[in-house]
Amino acid sequence: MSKSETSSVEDAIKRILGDHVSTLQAVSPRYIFLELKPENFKYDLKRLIDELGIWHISTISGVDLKDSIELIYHLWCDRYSVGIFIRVKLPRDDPKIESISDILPGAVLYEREVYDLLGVRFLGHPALERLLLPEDWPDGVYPLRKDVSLEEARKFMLGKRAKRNAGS
Amino acid sequence: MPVVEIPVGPQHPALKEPIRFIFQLDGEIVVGAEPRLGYAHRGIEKLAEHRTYVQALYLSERICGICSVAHTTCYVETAERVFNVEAPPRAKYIRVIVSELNRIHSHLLWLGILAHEVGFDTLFMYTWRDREMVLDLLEMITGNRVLYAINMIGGVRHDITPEMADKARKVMDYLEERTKYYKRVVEEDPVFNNRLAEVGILSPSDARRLCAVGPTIRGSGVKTDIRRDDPYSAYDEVPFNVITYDEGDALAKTLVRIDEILESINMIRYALDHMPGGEISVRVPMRPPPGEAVGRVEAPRGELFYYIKSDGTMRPYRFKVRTPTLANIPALCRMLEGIFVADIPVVVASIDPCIACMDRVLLIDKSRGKKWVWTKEELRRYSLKWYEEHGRR
Repeated sequence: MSKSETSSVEDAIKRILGDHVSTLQAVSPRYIFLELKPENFKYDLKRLIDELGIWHISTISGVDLKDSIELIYHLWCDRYSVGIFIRVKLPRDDPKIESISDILPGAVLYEREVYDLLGVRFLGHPALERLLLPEDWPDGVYPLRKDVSLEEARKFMLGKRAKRNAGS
Repeated sequence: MPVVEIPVGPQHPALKEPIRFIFQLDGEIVVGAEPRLGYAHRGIEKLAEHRTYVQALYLSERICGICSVAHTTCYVETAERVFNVEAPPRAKYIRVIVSELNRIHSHLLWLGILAHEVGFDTLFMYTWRDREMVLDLLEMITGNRVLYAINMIGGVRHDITPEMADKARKVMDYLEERTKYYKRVVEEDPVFNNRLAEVGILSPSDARRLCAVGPTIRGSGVKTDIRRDDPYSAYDEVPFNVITYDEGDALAKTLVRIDEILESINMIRYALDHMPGGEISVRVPMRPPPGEAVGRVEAPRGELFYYIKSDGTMRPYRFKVRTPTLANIPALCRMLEGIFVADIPVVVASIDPCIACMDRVLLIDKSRGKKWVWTKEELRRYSLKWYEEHGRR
């Protein structure tokens, strides 16, 4: 993969998205980070997927930045052999974004994971339910948020088991 | 006949981790499958944020016992990008050798489990005996049989001496002969053909649409492999073929894995012959600069994905892992649709799940409101008996 090929993907992304893409940065010859606004997110993503022939999503990383929640959609573009990592920042008090599971069905479990662990609502998701946490985990507590301490997470993780052990 | 729901799982025996499925059945046919995950969720991502980068390396090794090298390789490759350091060339070759040994032992282990699922316990014993040879090699190189602790940020902890290389070459010759024999068994034995061919088919378009990874997608004829598409360590210097089979059934996935063992054997030979000399590690500072990095590794089960974000402190700000089995769950649910109940063990095994387990099966017959519990072993026996009675489909 030569430098000119990475820049040709960058050019293609700029041509497709125009001024909708705010930052575009190649961190290595095969990885590109870019940022999109939540308002046009799904429309922009769909155009990118259609025009670059993307079919693979590796996962969605959710990061609590303390002033906002950042999602990174890790896509892989076969045509250019380039990883395209799309950043989108959501307000921390009510994080929500349109679900992409209809255009990339492979994302359906990753969206549930982010919903479960960081409390981001994906609008239009077919079954936005808990994926990993136990059933007795309290509502509204999202373990990967920075204000949930490790001790708290551990306490909720043990849940009824801890109470049962204490009682016996 | 009304649709009956059968919960399967989640208790786990020694080999596989827990997962629960709810199968919707119309008679003998599965019409829908719904997974419930999380029984093995240990909160490792949260825990790693409270550990130093070195401690998190050992934590990552403990995510999975079978593909532990894949996890540490992915961790150190990602962390090295955060720290802006590069492992020396010799260390990269040692990573390739240990990773491929890990792939061989993982695939042999899986082949044995598959043989057990179809009632071919002789092959199960054979493959596990040969797997011991690989574990002995890994013990010789790393000092450990399961959690090797060979990778470190900036290199590897143990060198491979010429004597070790000679021993490894001999084992490779033996394994090549054995693997070719197993391939013949799988291709020619009527048991395998009867139980695996045209079972649990995943079409290439479904495999792409549902973002399947690893041997699961390569068994559907889609040529994708992180080692070729996004090379790490020394994979850009070691030649190998990406194995694909077009049929998409359980037999194709089996043959992909057997051929991958043969490829791995050749890669190990090549890497042993072409290993450059020099140091095996470089010094790395305690704190990385602020930044973030992504790492992708072809684990035995497919694409393993790590994301690490640093805020300049000694501990990672965010540590994100996506294992290949999670990526294959949507494709697995698609494969389960339309199959016989008796084929469930084989189809679940065909993605080589690192979680799946059906230790206990609860059967509910809605029309009669009756419940009973099956263990996974009983489900296996049921499937063997069903095939005895029904013969070849």
